[in-house]
Amino acid sequence: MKNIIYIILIIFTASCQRVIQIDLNSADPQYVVEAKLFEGTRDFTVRITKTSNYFDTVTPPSVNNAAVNVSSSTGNSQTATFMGNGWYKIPNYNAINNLTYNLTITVDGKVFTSSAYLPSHIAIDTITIDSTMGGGGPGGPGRGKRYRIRCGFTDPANVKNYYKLSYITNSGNPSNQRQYDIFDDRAINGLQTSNNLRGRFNEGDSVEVELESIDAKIYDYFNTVNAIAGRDINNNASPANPNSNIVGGCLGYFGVFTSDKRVVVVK
Amino acid sequence: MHLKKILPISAFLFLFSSTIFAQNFTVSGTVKDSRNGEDLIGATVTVKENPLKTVFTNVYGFYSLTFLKGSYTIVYQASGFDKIEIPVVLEKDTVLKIQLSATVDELQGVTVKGHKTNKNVTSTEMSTIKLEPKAIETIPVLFGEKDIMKTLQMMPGIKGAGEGNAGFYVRGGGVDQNLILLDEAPVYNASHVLGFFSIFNSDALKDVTLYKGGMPAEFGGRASSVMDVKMKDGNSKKLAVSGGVGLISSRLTVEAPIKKDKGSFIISARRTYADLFLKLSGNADLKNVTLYFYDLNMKANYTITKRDRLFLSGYFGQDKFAFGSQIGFSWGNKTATLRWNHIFSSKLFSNTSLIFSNYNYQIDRSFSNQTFQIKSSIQDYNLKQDFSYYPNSNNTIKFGVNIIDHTFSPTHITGTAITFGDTLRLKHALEGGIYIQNEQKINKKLSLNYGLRYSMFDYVGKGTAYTYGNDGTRISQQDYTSGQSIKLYGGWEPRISARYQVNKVSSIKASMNRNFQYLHLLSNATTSSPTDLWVPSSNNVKPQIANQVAIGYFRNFKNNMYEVSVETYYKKMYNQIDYKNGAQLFLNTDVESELVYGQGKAYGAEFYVHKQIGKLTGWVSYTLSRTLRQFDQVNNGNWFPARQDRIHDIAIVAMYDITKKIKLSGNWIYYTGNAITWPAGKYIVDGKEIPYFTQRNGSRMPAYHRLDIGITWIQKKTAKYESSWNISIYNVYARWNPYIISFQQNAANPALTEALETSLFRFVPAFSYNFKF
Repeated sequence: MKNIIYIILIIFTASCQRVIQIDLNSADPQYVVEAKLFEGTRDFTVRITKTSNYFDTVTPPSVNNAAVNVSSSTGNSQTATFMGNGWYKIPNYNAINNLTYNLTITVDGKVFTSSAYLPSHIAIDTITIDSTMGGGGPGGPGRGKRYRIRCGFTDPANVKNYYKLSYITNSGNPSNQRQYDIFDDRAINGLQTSNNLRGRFNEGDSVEVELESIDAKIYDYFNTVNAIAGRDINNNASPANPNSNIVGGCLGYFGVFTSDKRVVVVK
Repeated sequence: MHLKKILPISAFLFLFSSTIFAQNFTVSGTVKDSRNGEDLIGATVTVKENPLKTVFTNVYGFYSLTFLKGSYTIVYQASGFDKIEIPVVLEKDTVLKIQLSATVDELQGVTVKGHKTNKNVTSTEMSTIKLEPKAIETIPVLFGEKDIMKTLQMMPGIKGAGEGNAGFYVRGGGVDQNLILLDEAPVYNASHVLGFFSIFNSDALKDVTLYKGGMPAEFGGRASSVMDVKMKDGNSKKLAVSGGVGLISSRLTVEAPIKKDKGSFIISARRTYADLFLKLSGNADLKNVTLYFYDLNMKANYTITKRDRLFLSGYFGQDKFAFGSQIGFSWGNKTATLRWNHIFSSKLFSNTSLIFSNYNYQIDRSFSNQTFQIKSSIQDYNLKQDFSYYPNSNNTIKFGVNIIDHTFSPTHITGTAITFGDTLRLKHALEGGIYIQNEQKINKKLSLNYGLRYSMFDYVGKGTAYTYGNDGTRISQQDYTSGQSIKLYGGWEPRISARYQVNKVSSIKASMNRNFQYLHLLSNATTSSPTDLWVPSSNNVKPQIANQVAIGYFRNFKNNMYEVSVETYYKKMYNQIDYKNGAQLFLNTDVESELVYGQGKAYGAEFYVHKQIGKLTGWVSYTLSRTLRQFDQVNNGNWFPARQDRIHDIAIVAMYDITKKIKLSGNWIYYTGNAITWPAGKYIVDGKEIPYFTQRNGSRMPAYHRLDIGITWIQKKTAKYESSWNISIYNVYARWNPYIISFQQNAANPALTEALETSLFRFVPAFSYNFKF
């Protein structure tokens, strides 16, 4: 759709672009929490920062005076250690599937709390690499041989599942960012399935594929953050802040993930 | 229908007072244009001896006046036509068929837009705009494509949704709240090419009336306005051909009598050829592009007997876009209307209409060895029966009933490899309306038009209805058999307007109306798209309701040379629709779970000065208005400005005849920028910069303004042949009017975010050549 609209615009308009100055409303800085907990024994990390003005060029201010605690529904309450520059960490925290985890952050008299469910582990069954000739769309054909990657897994029946499927190409290159898609099981419930990664790959690319299972609220966070992330020409008419799973008045989210990773080399 | 609810209507019939003596007789008939036999709508028929006895011709040119036996002079007049006076000795019912001649100012030899009536002051109609394509044909427009919808947007209270947007907003209502009728058939998407052009080919149109408020009870189905477009009937005197060649399109219209003064037809076609230029392009990608649209309007009418007349009209239009064989995208409307006029008696006029309307789009994609189609459509069959009853010269009663069968085919994909969405799950609904209204002259000063409409909407099976939890997941479902009611809605829609005549040249009018709307257009993008989805009211989606009151002062100056009006209005809207955070509307079978409901209010003042006669004609319109919305789930439940909340809206339109052959025209438009949600801050999560928002629509786009000019040179004008050239320039001073403002990282300094403005049309010249014989 977006491509179609773009082409029609080019044809019918001598559309022109320029950089302009606009005045934006300013806002009081808000706390931003990025907390991630993975299944198994891994480091639990939290980064706390604040919002900055939209046109600011300085790095976001970090929050260095918070108390961070995580616990499961069966106990295992631990307090994170401040690591500097807004980072907090609990090394080797053991997260067990099918338990609920609770996060409590106290800072400047404010308390932020969240709880998230760690679902059952979902394993990647297969990784498939198909060659493709370009693909649809303007300028598609004739670009030589490229590849698609599919990630196969089996969706458990009887439960509602939410997924985050991500990849990073040639992770050694610092300019490459991790890309992800999120989806639920409404079309694949109980099925053995195979999902395309969003990108196209070249021969020799090293691609790390990661499949994560998340709960409904975290899915909602990713869904709503994606709605405002794009800056395309047919953009969202009613943008709003993502639905956070943290209560108490901060931005960001408490991510609790299962994780299965594979690295493949395209050939 | 509920019989119990109809009963009060019959009681209503007797509200008016009428004293009918045996000595009364009726003059009835039709009023037509002498040049081409077109029916004249809204012509004034008055008894000279008693100007209180006045009636307007209906949309088929019919009138009926009843009064005491005696000798009278009946005066027929219509704006732009010479007045005719006919002496009558009334001793039996009389039929008078009148033809009026267009005014020609012999002194200057120039057809000035002639004699004007003061109908705008004397009628009970307010908040109503009437346009004839003829009167605005020299106004400069984008690419030289005459477009009545774009001209309407220069009237007070009507705001275009902006360049590249199809819709328009009437008094704060949404773009889906306008009922757009083409010969009574609803048009669901009135735009071509993403809204740069409307589907209305001016060559085929007779008259457009837009009701912003005080809608007569005969109209229903949308909350904010009715845009009633009527096609020409076709020349019943002689063969006439007209056409034009323009920058991006050509037009041809043929009209002729089927049998002189008995019946006629018109066929009008338009096709664009913008993509032909692309073949010349050096860019290989653009060479592969197909992009065009066409319109075909057809109409025929025939007078079968003295009392019966048939009309058949149709519209067919399509946009096509293709990129090689990989993407095909087409969309279009089809409408057809079959009408039967029957005159039961000199006092009772009937029209029966059978109406068809369809809007659909289809996207074809193919790559490698796979192909698939994405399709959606909405289709209506509508049966409508309307009566005009003229019991005496003080009352004109209209009543009628209609029933519409809607079929919605929600967006679905079919193809070689995939099937997704509701391929089989069509949605059905029945919409009905019954109304009665009376236009009553109480005394010399006071006239009323009061009416009542009852509308109902039945969302029916076959189908499955779902209910949704707060998180949007299905929590229950129920299957319904074919025709079984899933959800029934209905409501009373009172409509009242009153005119108080202060003196011969001025009046005060007030109106109040309530409208129900049972169909909703879902669109969550900043630009309109052919894939925007029409959905019915259902167990989840409630009908939209609007209540409006308006009051206005109308005054004419210098023998109706200047029309001046001031109107103010207040409108409250209920069950308005917005979208959940992150809502996915396209190809979503659970789209109803993505909606939230709230309320809206709009108020404003509209100022209008129109000079109708002379070498210089045109108008100035100014609207001062606010439009606000409130949803519990949005903006912390606080009221916020709607996107179309433009505080100031100004349009100046001028047409000047320099000589008999050369006409200049120009218009200037200014409006406050749309309300928009821009970030108030930013932050980083998962390595990505995310905007931080505080208020919905808390910021403003820059103000929009532009000047367009045009010149028309009549090369040749004889009784038999006429040709002219038109050159126009859109956005003369090349104003950067933002289509979109987006934010991006500065290429040289990635830490820096900058605002990027995209403008569509800056200084666009166009020409066209037009002929008529």
